[in-house]
Amino acid sequence: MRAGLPISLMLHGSVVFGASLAFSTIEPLEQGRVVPVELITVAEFTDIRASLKRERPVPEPEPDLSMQVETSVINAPEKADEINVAPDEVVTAEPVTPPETKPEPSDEPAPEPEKVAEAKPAFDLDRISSLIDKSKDTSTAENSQIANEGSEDRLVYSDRAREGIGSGTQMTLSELDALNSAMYRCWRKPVDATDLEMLVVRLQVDMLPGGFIKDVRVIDRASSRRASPGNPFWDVAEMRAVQAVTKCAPYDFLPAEKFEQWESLILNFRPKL
Amino acid sequence: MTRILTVLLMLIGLLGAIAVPSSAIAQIEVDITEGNIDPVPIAVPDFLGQDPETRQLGAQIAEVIRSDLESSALFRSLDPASFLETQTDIDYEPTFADWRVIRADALASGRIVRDGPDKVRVEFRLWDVFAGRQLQGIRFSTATENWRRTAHKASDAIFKALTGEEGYFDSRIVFVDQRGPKTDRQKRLAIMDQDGFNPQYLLGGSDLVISPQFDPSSQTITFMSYETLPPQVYILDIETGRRELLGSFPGMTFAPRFSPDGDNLIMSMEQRGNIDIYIMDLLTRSTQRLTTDAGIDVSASFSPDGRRIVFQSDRGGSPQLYTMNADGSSTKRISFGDGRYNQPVWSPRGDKIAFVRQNRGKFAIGVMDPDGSRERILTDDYLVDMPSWSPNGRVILFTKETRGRNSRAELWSVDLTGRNLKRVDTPGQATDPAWSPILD
Repeated sequence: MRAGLPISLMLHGSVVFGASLAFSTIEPLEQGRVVPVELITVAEFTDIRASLKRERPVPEPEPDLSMQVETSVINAPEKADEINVAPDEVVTAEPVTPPETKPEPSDEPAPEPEKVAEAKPAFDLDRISSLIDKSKDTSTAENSQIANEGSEDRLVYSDRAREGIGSGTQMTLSELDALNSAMYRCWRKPVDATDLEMLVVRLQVDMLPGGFIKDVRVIDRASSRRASPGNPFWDVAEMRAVQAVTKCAPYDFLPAEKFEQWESLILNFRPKL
Repeated sequence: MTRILTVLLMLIGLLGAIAVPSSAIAQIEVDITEGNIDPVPIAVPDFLGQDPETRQLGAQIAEVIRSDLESSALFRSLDPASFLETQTDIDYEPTFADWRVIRADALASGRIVRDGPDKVRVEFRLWDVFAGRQLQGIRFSTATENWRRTAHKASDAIFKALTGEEGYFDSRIVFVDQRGPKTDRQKRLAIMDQDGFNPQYLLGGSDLVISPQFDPSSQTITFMSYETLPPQVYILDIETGRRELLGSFPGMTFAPRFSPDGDNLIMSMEQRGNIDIYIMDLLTRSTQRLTTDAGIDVSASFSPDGRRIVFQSDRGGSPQLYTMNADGSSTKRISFGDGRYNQPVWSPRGDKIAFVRQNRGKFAIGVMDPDGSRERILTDDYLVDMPSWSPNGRVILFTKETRGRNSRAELWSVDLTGRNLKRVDTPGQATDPAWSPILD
């Protein structure tokens, strides 16, 4: 009887632990999908292209976050036979999501170079080898060589890694750019508002096939409003964001084959002066 | 035993905490930062009426609303000829699809109902065409002759519902009407609606008056008269016509302004060659000196919360803008640009200070934040002068004089973005505008 409670607790604990493990194995794939999508504007798109052409300057002048997963990528011509990607497809990964998401799709052939890209900042041999162990890859020597090669090559390899995740079904930058430019037409910024930049409205948008709107609603209203409490312009900011989404419909420019990705979107309307 | 238990519980709690976020569903999230600033397209069909007379009134009211909204440059009124739907009853939802087709964002429809021999009821509803919901539904009951004000009130309601900001259409402008040649100029105090209608003189005779200023809390103005010297300061209640002489203040250089609550006047006076800022309690008529330095301190204006005062001083060499507490403490210089900064006026919204900047032979009207940051010139010309804020702090009215022999003094307005620069119609030449607070 006495031992009963601890045993029960331990059993419960192990079940929860097991469940969390199970969940955490599913989750990274999902997050991996988020990566190329997070930060995109038209400007960024063009910047990346330009920065890839000239190799001399450090290709990523972006914020030096502690984790450097930054991988701006153009697909590599010499690897073209491996996975076919549209030739002009450009993918960026911003250092927004944790890098641990990458190793996950390791069953596929691609991941090793990703590891390498990660390994570049600190050259701890032990760590490298442990990483490689995990990926069940044997070609250690080759990898470390790659690590020492120019950034360009690394870009190429990380591109392969990305393809491994399944970027064929990812929303591309240009597709999301189209969404952004559509919004430019339809969204009337509340320019006169006080503390304009604080008026961030977060919308949950549910779509129907064909790009029609199923439902739009403001989410996280309370936490958004905390940024500028009592601002009389909140109602109008929300109204204009919802209006923009309804007005721009149908979103028939979004790729039909990727419907499951944009079936449910979160749009953050962040007005800037 | 209990220790093991607590450890186990903590462990479970910890695992739970890990498990929850990892099971969250990842979703595509897009940041939209670029939007347009085009005017909102709005459809205002003629208001419905029961008989020819009310129908005509309905058409006139809709016309005033359309021109009010257009004048703000925040709205684009759609041509009634393009309307597909003709509503016959505003108590039913309009066919939103018909309004979407002509790209109207909003629809304001109304009707006039006779409410007595000389009274009408004006009812209107404002619809969000894309969301398909009603944003506003208001009824005004008024004397028929008062239809213009009713229309302005409806415009204010529409403006507020669609921009989030108080409207300013139901307000008036007091200005100095100027007649005659420059050598024998008559300056008389006049008032008109914000859109230039119903101009009338406020005082009989030919007063030589300058710089009227509104009490932000009522329809009372203060102004200076040079009819007799030294100039005298008056307070005039526009609604009752009651005029009160506050006294003559030798050496006064600028007309006084009201405090936000209307209980005090703030003004500059000269004593022994030194011009300083004083505050006068209108009840007790006692004055208190706020600045004591040797420079010329003039043109004081209260912040809308009554805590700070902005003024112009040459204590630093050239005229620049300073702020201080309402009791004269903690003075801070806020303008640092080239040239001379004059006539600061605190916006009724509190977030901006308008001023006149004189630099390289040109005058400009500009705005800056109360801490002096984000200075922006809105318009410049040969001579621009006397900025006055609209009651919602969105538009600035000012005097503009053109160059040359045929120079004329006119009233112009510009909005906070510097975009909507336009002339305000006045019967003759006009200077010294003062925008009233919203009428009750």
